[in-house]
Amino acid sequence: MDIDRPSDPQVSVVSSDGTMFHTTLKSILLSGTIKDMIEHIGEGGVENMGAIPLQNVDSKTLEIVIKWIEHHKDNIQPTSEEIKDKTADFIDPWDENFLEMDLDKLYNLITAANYLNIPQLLWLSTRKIAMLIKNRTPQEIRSLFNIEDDWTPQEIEAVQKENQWCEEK
Amino acid sequence: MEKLPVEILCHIFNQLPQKHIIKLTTVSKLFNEIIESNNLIKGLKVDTQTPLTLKSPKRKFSKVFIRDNNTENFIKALQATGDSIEEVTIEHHRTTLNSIVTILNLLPNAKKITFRYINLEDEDEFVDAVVKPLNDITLEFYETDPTIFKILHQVSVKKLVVRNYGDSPYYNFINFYPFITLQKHLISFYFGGIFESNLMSSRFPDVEFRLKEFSIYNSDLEEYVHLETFLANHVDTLEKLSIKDVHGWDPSNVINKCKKLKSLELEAIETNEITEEITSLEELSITMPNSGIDKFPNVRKLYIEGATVESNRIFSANMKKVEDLTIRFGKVNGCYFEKVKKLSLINTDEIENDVFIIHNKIEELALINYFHLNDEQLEAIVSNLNNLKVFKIHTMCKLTANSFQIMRKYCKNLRVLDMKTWSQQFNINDWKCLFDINGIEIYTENFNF
Repeated sequence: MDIDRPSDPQVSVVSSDGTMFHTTLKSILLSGTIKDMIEHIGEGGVENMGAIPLQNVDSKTLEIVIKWIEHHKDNIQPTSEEIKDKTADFIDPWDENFLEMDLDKLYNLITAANYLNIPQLLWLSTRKIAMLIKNRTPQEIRSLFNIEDDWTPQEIEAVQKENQWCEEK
Repeated sequence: MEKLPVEILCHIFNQLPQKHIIKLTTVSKLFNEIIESNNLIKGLKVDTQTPLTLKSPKRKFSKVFIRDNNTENFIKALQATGDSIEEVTIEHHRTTLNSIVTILNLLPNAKKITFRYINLEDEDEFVDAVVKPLNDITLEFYETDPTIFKILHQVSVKKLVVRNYGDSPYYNFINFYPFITLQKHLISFYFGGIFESNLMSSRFPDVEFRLKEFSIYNSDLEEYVHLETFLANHVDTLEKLSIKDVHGWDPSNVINKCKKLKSLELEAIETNEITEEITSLEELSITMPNSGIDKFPNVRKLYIEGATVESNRIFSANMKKVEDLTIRFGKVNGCYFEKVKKLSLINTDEIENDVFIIHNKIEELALINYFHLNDEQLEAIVSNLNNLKVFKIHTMCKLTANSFQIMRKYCKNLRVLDMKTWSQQFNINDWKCLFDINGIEIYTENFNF
């Protein structure tokens, strides 16, 4: 290991269903939520700290999150503010490949990224859904995401009329 | 998807262009309600296509685009939603001063108003109505009849843009002067494409505001004495000055007096008489550098268009603190900026490899439209740049699959590799060796995954 870099101690986290995962401090600090928790423990406490319980993340999802944070632990993470200005042009192929998963897993990942406050992962995973919406018709969107059509034709007409005020950009 | 929290759904929807958000309102009642209650549709449009039979809009919009001569329609729309609107663009071809007063008075919270190509036709009928007070706004005029300034006396402007008057029928800016005299908070004034008009052709009135930013583009004046007198009042506050394509004016006198100037842009401008060192200057952008370019010792960010070996030598000898350098068109040779960390080369002539021995502290390198790049030069570049973190190669070039092995060998600290507009097709086996570089992010458009 590069001697200039501080060591990267092991940290454990426990999923809502009681499975323990081991990862490194650098990786887990990508989560704003955990970063806040650790900052409250204070320095020196990290080595002696017990496993961190994550009551809102199940083991299947936590495994996926850990895979992502470990891959990206050395990257400079954009802040939520920087992400707002981001255009969705180029995506790291590793991430593109990583996000190939069924929708239920993706929803769980989004919820976890939101709870753990990992802005870049939240952006990537929600962008994935936005891309699925983009080139589909309302009917295709309903069937892809399993959404019930609860509009009556009269109601739809009223909504469409209202939309005539909106700029088509 | 409906089991995701509303906050997340908003986050997803907000990543989409407005037309897709509009489409989503018809997917389900829940979606429509989320979009409506969070005001996710921001842009209102009122144009000749908007049917008159429509009722007033229910949604709260924050931007409006008015492109309609039909007063009835936009008044109906603005009465319903005008309070929430912050950005307004009015693009009539023909309208009246009275209509403009009516529109703007329905937008009490406007922060930015843009008038584009407005031809006013009612000057004689106009009665004394003026726009109600609006404070600290940005006001933009594109080829719009300057009579409009008559009604804007109570509008207090922070940023003012007056442009595209080049081939317009508007000569007479007489109404502009009383308007500008009333301004107190103006800090930024841009005017472009103004020639053959009477703006700046007579003595400018005394004003209370002091500018921080002044730009003049593509505006040849018959004489520059009135412009110089005007600017003389702002030299103590000016931080940003931009002068492009203004023939026959040497702004050296003004520049010499600016003590707080941080950013200076000069395009096709002769500055033969800069006698003072401008030590406050941090950013310089210069096209076709000639004389008087050796007086800016503290520049950190430098942009040169049309660099010559000679100008590169002068800049290098006088600006020792440059960290961020961009050269577009011309030569790179002759550069010797020891502190450069970020270098962008756009459409430059062929680069000698020595450049990368001298500038070996570079952390960010962009090569854009540099067709000469081949594997041999790539190796000469990356073998010298041990600190390279971000590498952008946006160009057709002669690199082969071997180039990825070269990068893998030398670019131990590379974090971002951004490759665009390559014409070669590579497959994953050619470049997956880059995954060995720890933590690298790769952005690309035309490789097979």
